[in-house]
Formats: sequence, structure tokens, C-alpha cells
Amino acid sequence: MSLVAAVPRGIVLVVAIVLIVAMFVPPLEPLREEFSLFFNIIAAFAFVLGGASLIGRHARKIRRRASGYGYSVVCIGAFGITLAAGLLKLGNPTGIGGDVTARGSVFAWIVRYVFGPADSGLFALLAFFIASAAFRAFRVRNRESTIMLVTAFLLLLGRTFLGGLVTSWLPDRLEAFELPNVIPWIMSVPLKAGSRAILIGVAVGAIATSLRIILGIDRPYRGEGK
Amino acid sequence: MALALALLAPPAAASMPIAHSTPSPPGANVVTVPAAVAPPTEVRASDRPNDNGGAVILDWQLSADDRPQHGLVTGYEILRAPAPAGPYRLLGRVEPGTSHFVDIFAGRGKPFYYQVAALAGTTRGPARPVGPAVATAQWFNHRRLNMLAFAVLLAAAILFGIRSARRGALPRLRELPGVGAVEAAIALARERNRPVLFITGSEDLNDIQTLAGLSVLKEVAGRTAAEDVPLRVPHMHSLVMTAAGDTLEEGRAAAGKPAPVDPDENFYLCDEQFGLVAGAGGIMYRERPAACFYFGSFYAEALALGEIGQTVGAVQIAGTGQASQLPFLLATCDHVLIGEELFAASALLSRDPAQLGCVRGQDLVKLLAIGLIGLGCLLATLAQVTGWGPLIPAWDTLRSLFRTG
Amino acid sequence: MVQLGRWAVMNVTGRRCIYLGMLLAVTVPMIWRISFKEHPTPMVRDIFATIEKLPKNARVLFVCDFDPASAAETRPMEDAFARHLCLRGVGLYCLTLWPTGPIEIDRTIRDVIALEFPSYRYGQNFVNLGYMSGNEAVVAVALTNFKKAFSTDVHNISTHDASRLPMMVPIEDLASFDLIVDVSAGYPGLNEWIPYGAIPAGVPIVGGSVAVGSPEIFPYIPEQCGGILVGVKGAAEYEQLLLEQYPQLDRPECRIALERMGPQTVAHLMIIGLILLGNGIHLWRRHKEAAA
Repeated sequence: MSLVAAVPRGIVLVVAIVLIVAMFVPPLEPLREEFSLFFNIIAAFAFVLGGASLIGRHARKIRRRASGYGYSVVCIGAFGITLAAGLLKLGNPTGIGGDVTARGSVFAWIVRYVFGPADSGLFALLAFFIASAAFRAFRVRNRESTIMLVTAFLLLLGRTFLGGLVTSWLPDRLEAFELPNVIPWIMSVPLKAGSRAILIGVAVGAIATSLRIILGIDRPYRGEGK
Repeated sequence: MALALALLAPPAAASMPIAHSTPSPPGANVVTVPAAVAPPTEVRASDRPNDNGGAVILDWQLSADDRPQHGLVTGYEILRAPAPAGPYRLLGRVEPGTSHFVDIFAGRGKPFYYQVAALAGTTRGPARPVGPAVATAQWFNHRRLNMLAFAVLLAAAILFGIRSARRGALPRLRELPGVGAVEAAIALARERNRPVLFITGSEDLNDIQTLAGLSVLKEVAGRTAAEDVPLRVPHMHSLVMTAAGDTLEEGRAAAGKPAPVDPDENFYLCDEQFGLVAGAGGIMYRERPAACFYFGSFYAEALALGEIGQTVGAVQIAGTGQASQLPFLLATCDHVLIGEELFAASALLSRDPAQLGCVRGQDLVKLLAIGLIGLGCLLATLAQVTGWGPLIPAWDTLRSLFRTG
Repeated sequence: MVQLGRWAVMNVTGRRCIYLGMLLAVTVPMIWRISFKEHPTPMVRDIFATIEKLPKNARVLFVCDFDPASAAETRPMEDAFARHLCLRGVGLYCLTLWPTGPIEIDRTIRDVIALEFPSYRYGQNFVNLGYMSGNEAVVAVALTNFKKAFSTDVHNISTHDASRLPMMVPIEDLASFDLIVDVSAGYPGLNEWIPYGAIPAGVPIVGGSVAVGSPEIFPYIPEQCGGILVGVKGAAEYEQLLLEQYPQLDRPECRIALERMGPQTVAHLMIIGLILLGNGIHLWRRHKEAAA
């Protein structure tokens, strides 16, 4: 094994062992917090790489006069304005250069009148997407899709005022089959069972993947070939 | 960053930040105030177990006057001193009805004496010192012994699977339609002369699903390089972008087609989920990828991405462990890998013996989980139905094996 | 009857028509203020009862883990919880683990607490501890040493300053609180506060979640989590209970979720109709293919 492959593999192994042991050895527990902070610090430095990637890609598009390059001009302009607004904070904790919670700051204005509406607007698109997805996807094709269709139908109906009305005619001894009582049962029994099964599977898969990465099985480091 | 600074700062030992200090007169070991209420009894001070030291637990029996209907006792004050004679400084106050306090500023290895006095309004009742109590660090957290045992068992099962696969006993794994469809989707992209879009999710590199997505990306990179199909990999996190760049190079090298990564292939969009939707959606509308792969951790953007992909007519294959997003991906994508199938996907694509063996180890662990769940359900049901005495402690014992501390 | 080609029906009910229908389904009830009476479910009633039982001056950790994107669902919950907690006279310790969360805390303080409860004093009845990065690591630190995790409030006042923040004096760790109320829209949120905070500290926790994230929380209910408000419907049910218990709250700003249920109900009915229409078309096509 070459040094180029051995060093990162060694780092991964040592850090993994230390963090696992720290789970059980109280004097080492602060290390877990420290390492997660290391990650935050590294991720913060990586922002520079991301910014460079963003600017580079759009600058190339503008230089090539590629189709839609006007949007790249807008993107770089918005990036520059927001960066300048952020840099204004240096030495100006309040007023126009204040942070996002300061009254009258540029940042607060950008968040309230640009970012907020854009974010909410894109989120609102989901309403339209779910309508077309429901129209296309909920079809009686086989037994499983029929069960999914019926369950979705009951849940959708139950979340409206009609949910109570549709089954209100049932006698008291059949109260358990009224829709407002069926919905919580669906959410708390079959749905919970399915969620827990998926959670257990994901947890086991996560352990296995972590072991593969720690042991270098999944991502051979540079210098190791197949 | 503020938390980083706070955590890196050494904890002050002697100068503990306390509410206010009222040192008692020198030489006194009982607070000299006329007894307004009865003192708490059986005051005990002991080291908090299973910690890093620095904490002492105080327990006491409530004052005889501490009854909700009388309202005589308005609280308890806890005082601390380095010597039984004092000076005692106020450490904290608790509400009436409370019989427990944790001194988290005890400092490792330092003996302290404590007094717990009942309050009647602002009048402090009598109190006797208890101690010395010394906070010490324990080298093993016994409350997590069960976790250690299970961790060792799980790791052993997975390592057994890897070892037996490396020795030639390759497990026969069920083929996942989603994994099988990856090759066909890439072939379709080559036919239509369109790119392939790959999104590794909206979490950062510290999420295991992102790492699983990168493992799949490596296989897809190799296959797209072999078929000469362009790849587009937009990212929500810069760190993932950096790791994905390495992954793309490794995948291409492994497929015998080494090539540097074009910055227009692997690039950063923004750190917001709907920024990812806007950016990736724009790519889909403009470049009309023939295939879209979503492998990783997704949130609300899953539906938007899947639906936009449907609009442009792309073949879509997704894999995620986010149970909440599975319905949306199932409604919009052609194939979905559910939960642990995401983690098995790279093994099935690469056919690497060690990775396949790992999947077998995963299955052994799941069999164990199924057995324990079945046993627990049986015990709980029988205990409930029959009411037979020995079943209840058996059920409690089984449950206690899974308590975490 | 007009004879439609096999694909013509699909064209008529094409994607654009679906989107237009959804637009009308949402905007018409919104403009005409169509709303319906809600019948609170047992879980929402339990959450209401938990808060209703809180004694005056109880200490409540009020966590706002959401951003403007999900505010449509979560803001009514946050406002309803803030109102109810202030009506009970409890102490509110507000914080967030989301970088964009401080905007929401600020808005709640400005539009609900300061406006409707002028007797509430900063530092005595409520405190804004702001945002702390670190996700579940923050919860883990706060579990054993709350003031280490939140050493200052949002105005940079030390949480050890007893003269300016007297309500922080009795707070040592998470167990110092009587209740945790967390309104969350994803990660980090209830899924982190429950296992890393509430369970080890032994503090009851209730909250609210966006509808799409609620299935992840259901496994914790009812043993580890007292209950959650699910989406706008949950918020509307809670507002209904508040109106029944406190009639003085019958004002437009206290009925936001109830009003939003109007468009949501109509949209749900429209989606049900689309599902039925889609299946009708699907079965009709299958019948035609079988006949042909």
C-alpha cells in the first residue's frame, strides 16, 4: 500500500476508533463534540470552494455567451450584493450593516423581501406538483397499488371536514370504523410499523456502510487500485 | 462558532458562576436563622456515576412542612463549601417538591461539603453539612454496556460476512430492479445523446446517506465514462462537491477511462434546498437529461425534483433512507430503493466481494432484530393475555437490554 | 355526447389544467374566506391539556426549528403555542437550531408576546436565546450544561447575569425545564430534541411538525413524546381548542390556520377528484384495450 493511500486510511481508522471508544469512555466524550466542531470548521472553509465553483461556472457561461447567460449575470450580481451586505457587518453590528435580525439592515431586507418570498414560492410549487403526481401515480394497477390508493384516499378524506361526515351515520358500536378514528389508527399502527422497519433497516445499513468506509472497502483511497 | 469558543474555553473550577453568594459567618456550620420550617432529611451527596467527573448528585427527603396544600416551603437552597466549617456559598435554588439537585460545577477531585436548607419565603431554615463529596471520572459508562455488546455483535456479523465473501462464499443477493435499471438508463442516455443527472441529496458529507450516494456515484461515473455519456452532478454542499470530484475521478479510473473532472460536470449550486430545486430543475429543463439519479438524503425537494424529471421525460431512479420522502419518490420515479437498499446499491453495482459480504452481514443483523422483535412481541402479548407472573419480569428484562443511557 | 380520442381526454386534463385547477382550489377559498369548523383529535387535545395543566411560572423551553419556507404550516402552530403558554403565565425560553430560525422567534416576540401580552417582561417572563449551530451536538451539551450551550442571549447578555436575566438563574440543564415545546420543519428538530434531549433529561416534550415530516415522529408517540400538531390541520385544531377555552381570542390573527384549512380542504377534495378521474381514465383505457 502506498503512502498516499495509507495516510488517509490511517486517519479514518484512528478517528473512527477514537470516536467509537469516546461513546463508552466518559473522559473522552468531549472529543465527540470537538470532532463535530472540526467538521463545521472544515465545512466553513469549503464554502470558499463552493463560491469559486459557482462564480467560475457562471463566468464561463457569460464568457461563452451561452444560452441563458443573462441569468448568470443576475446570479453573480446577487452573489456580489449579498456578499457585500455580509461584509458590511464587520464593525457595524447594528443599523444598515446589522445581521439578519437587526432592524433596517440590508441583510434583513434581503431575507424578508427576496429570500423569504423566493423560498416560500418554490415551496408552494409542491402543491401543484402533488396534484399532478397524484393524478398520475395513484392508479389501480395491482394489489399493492390498490392498497396504497385506498389508504391515500382515506387519509386525504380524513384530513377534511368531510371525513367526519362521511361515516357519521355509523352506529355507536361501530364507532371504531368512523374515519376520524380510522385515520389515527392508520398513522399509529401500520404507518408506525412501516416507519420503524425502515428506520431499523437504515440504521443497520448505516452501520454496515460506516464499517466499509472505516475499513477502506467502499472507497479505496488514491494509490490503491482494483 | 460561538459554541466552538464556549466548548474550547477551559471550565472555570474555583470561580463558579452562581446566582449570588451569601457567605455564612466564619466558624458556623449551621445557618443561623430561626427555624421557620423543618429541614429536609437524609441529605446525601455523591459523585454522579458514568461521567467525566465534575458533577455531584444531591438527594434528600422533603421537609416535613413541604406539602402542596400548606405552601409553607417555598423551595430549597443548596449551599456548598470546601470545608465543613464553611464559608458556604449559595449554589442554586429548586422548587418545593424537588428532592434532587446536580452540582455540575463541582470540579474533578475536589472535596466539597453541602447543605440543603428549606426556604420559607426568604427565610432559610436550618441545615446540617454533608460530605465530603468528591466528583471523579469513571473510565467506563456502565449504562452503555448493552450498547457496546450490541455494537460488537453487529460488527462481528458484518465482518463475518466480509470475511466469508473474501474467501469465496459469495452471497446470493436478491436483484433490486432499481439497481438493474441503472445500466439501462445510462444506455438510453447514450442512445438519445443526452446527459445523466446525479444528485447526492441535500445533506452534508457527515450524513451516511450522502456517503452511500457517493458510493453509487462512483459506479455511475465509471459506467457513464465507459459509454461516453456526459454527467451532471450539482451539489448543495461544497464539501460534498469536493468529495464527489475525487469520486468521479476514481470511478473513471476504475473503469479504465481516467479523465479529469470538468468543473461544469461537478459543481456547487447553493446551500438551500429550494435553491437546489431551482438550479437542478433549470438544468433538467434546459439540457433534458435522459436519466436522473437521486441517491442520498432528501427532504421536500424530492417531490419537486421527481416531478420536474417526469415533465422532461427522464428515466428516474431514486434511493433514500428518508421514510417521509419515499411516497413522493414512489409517485414520481420509475424505480426507488427503499431504506437499506440504498446502502446495498453500491455493492450490487460493483459486485465487489467484500461489499457483497457486508450486505450479508447486514442481513444477519436484521435477522437478529426480527428475532428479538418477535420474542418481545410474544412476551408482551402473552403477559397481557395470560397475566402469568414470570412473563412480566422476563418482558422487563428484555426491554431493559435496549435502554440507553 | 362528444367523442373524444384516446389521448384527447389526457390533453384536456393535461398538466396545465391540473395546475390551473389547483390554483383555483387554493385562491377562491382564500379570497372568499371559506373555512370549516375543526373537530380536534385526541392527540391535539392531549397536547392542549399538557399545556393547560402547566402551573404559573413553569419553565418552558420553546424551540422554533423552521424557516420561512415552511412558515405557512409552522407559523400558526408557533403563534398558537406562544399564545397558550403566555395565557398560562409560564416562562418562555426561546431558541432555535436553524440559522433562519431567529427571524421567526423575533416575529413571534414582536407580533404575539409584545403585542398581546404587554405584562410579559424580557428577562423575567421570556428570553430569546437565539440560534446556536451544531444541531444535535447543541442538544447534547444543553442536556448537562444549558448555559454552556447558550452562554448569552440574542442581545449578548450573559445567561449568568442574574440581574438582567433573572429567569435564567434556576436553569442548570435540560432537566430544569418543565416542558419542551418544539415546532420543527425537518432537521434538526423534534427527531433530535426527543432522543438527545427530552428522553435523557426526563422532560416531557410536545410540538408541531410539517405534515411531511410527521411520520418520523410518530414512533415516539405517546411514550417519549406527548404528541405533535401535524401540519396546518393540527394547527387549526389547536386554534379551535384555544377559541373554545379562551373566547377572548376570537380575532383574525388567532384563526390563521383555521382560515388556511379552507383552501387546504378544497385542495384535498380536488386531489381526491383527480385520483378518481385518473383511475376512471385508466380503467376506461384498459377496457378499450381489452375490447380491441
